[in-house]
Amino acid sequence: MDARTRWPPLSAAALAQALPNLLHGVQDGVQIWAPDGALIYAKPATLTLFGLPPEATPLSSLELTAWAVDPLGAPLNARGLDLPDLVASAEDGLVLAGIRCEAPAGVTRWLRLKQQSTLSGPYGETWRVTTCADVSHFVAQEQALQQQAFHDALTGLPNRLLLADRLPYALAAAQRRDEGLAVCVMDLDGFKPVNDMLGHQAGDRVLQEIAHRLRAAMRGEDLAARMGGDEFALVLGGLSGVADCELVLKRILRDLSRPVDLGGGQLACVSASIGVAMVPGHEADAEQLLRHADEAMYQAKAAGKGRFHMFDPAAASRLRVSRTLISKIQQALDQGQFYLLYQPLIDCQVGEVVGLEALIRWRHPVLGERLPAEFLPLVAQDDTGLRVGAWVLHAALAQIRCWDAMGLRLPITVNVQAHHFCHEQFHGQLRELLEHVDPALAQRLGLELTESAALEDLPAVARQAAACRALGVCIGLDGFGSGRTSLSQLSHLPARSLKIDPSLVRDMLADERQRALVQGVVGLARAFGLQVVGVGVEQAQHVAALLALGCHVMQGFHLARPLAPELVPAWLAGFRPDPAWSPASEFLEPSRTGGTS
Amino acid sequence: MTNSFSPLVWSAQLETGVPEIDEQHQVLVQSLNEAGASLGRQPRPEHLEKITQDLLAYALVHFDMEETMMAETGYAEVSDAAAAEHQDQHRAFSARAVALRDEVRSGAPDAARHLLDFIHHWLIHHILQTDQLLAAHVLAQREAAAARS
Repeated sequence: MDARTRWPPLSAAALAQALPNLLHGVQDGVQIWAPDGALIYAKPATLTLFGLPPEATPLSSLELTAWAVDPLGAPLNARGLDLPDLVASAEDGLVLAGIRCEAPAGVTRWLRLKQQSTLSGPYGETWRVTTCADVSHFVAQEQALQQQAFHDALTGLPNRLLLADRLPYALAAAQRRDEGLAVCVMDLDGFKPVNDMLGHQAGDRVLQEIAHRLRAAMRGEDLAARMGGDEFALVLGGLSGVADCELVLKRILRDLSRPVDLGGGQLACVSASIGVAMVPGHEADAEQLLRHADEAMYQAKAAGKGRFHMFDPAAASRLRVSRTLISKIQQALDQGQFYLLYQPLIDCQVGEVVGLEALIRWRHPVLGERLPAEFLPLVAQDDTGLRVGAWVLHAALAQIRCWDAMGLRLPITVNVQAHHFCHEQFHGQLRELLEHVDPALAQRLGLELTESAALEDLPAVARQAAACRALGVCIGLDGFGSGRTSLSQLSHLPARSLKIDPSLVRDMLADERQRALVQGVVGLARAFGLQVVGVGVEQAQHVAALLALGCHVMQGFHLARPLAPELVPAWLAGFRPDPAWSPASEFLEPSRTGGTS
Repeated sequence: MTNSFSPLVWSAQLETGVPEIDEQHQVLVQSLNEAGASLGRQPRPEHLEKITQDLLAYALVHFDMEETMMAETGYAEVSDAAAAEHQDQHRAFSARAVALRDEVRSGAPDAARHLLDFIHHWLIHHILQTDQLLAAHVLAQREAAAARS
């Protein structure tokens, strides 16, 4: 063992006295934190980093509020956090966070704080020692990058990315505070003409001015973002309800509709259409709310622009139902789920089958056979309806040709929707179809329109009907007696047949007045030289009653149900007139018999 | 029901707990409220007809979904009678909606009231009863499937 003298250990007091000088040479700031989180020592030169005056030691009574951020400056914790709390929660030896302190002058400093060691006090309590470095410079750089990545360069507004980042927080906050929040998608009206006629510079100027006004209109935590082009998004929080939201939106619409001064005495006028999805009111996440607001925006545009439209979940569901249905019907066309049945028309006076009516059915994969009344009117005004109508014509003509080859030559009537019938391409398509099959078969084709639909655009129907008759095709009116055709209107329609509405036939047995109506229709048909058909014949009494009124051609379940085409030849071969039809009535009058052609 | 119709507010009582079903049921409540609102004033036939069209569209889409759900979850295997009854009610709905549309078109004076009564009856008897049975079955199947995975 060396004979050198061993020194007794330094007293704690001596160490403490030496510590400040000792640390003076260390470049980073050094801090010591009491177990309760109070800062009890900081290297004097670094006190200003915490926004404290240099002489402010001891520091035990000072409260420091800071925000914890990750080394790149992104928040680690959404809420403000006491700096000592953060230090206390740090794991040993780990880089903690950057700390942003509000300096007295309002300067934000970014500090990277790291726990270096812990000291055990006499009661077993833990004191923490940290070092910190000023990283403000790096954070500023990072923020500039973020500004670029998350903001729109032209207007300086947050962009779509930042909106997507912030919206969920805004939603959560609104829910926590039990406040209304409106998510709005806004599109400028009249912006394109500005761009097209005054140039892109003018367009940019308008966008900047709109952004400026939006920013001015935002309150508190509201957010205005540019989604791209002339589309913006607004997040309006702290709303007490729909009325409150409407007030805010009206103000924004007013602000935005003021002309924009482009300089040089030029003014640009734009307005905005805003779609609004509001919570509470419907359950949806941020993405859905934006989508709903977008849908509502289109409704605002459709309703005349320069206005806002609140998204209505029930109306949207209804729209969704109707779109789903249209796509199902298109699918049904593509997958061959439609087919035609043929119901015989019988002249009960002479006991002969005089024609067949083609009736569409939908073999629905889940719901089974569906009737046209359930689905056709739903697409009657739509392009899908035109496709279905074209399919029916095509299928019926193919059937006529097929039966023609078998020597079966009965006239066949097809129901046509008025929208389809009046379509500018209808006549051309029909002609092409006939040329493709056999123009001579036109003589055997009859087209039927419902009376009420034909009346909606009588001049167009009359024109088209005349054109069809020129092709050799017959036109008839279906459901007659339920609509409101006047006599003069009837004289303008080049129809060859009238079908009495089934409701009149159904009720004519019990109701004298309905019977009188049927009689009236029969008389009308005779006066105009039209064939009249009684539809909805469900019992023998109907046959007798119609015969008695002079209506001889009939159709209905009592006579024959709609048949699959392959069953028709056998049914016709086996057809025998019912002896009960024999007209014993004194009302019997001479009548037109035969088919519709 | 009287002429003073108060709109039906969608509530937990009407919910089946199956989100897809509930969403479409709300369409029906909307139709009911529209029909109800039309009772107070002179109802426009085209407006009433639009409601009947909505009912028919609802029927095709909604029943399709429910019956697909029945098939996928084996409702008929669990309760044949309930499944058959459920489907019967669906078919009757469509037939009645077509009849109501004809009634509306013919300008029958009571069409609006009949329409309203029909939807109301459907809510009470189908949605609050028949659909609840199906929903309980579907939810049980889903829970079982979740437990297996």
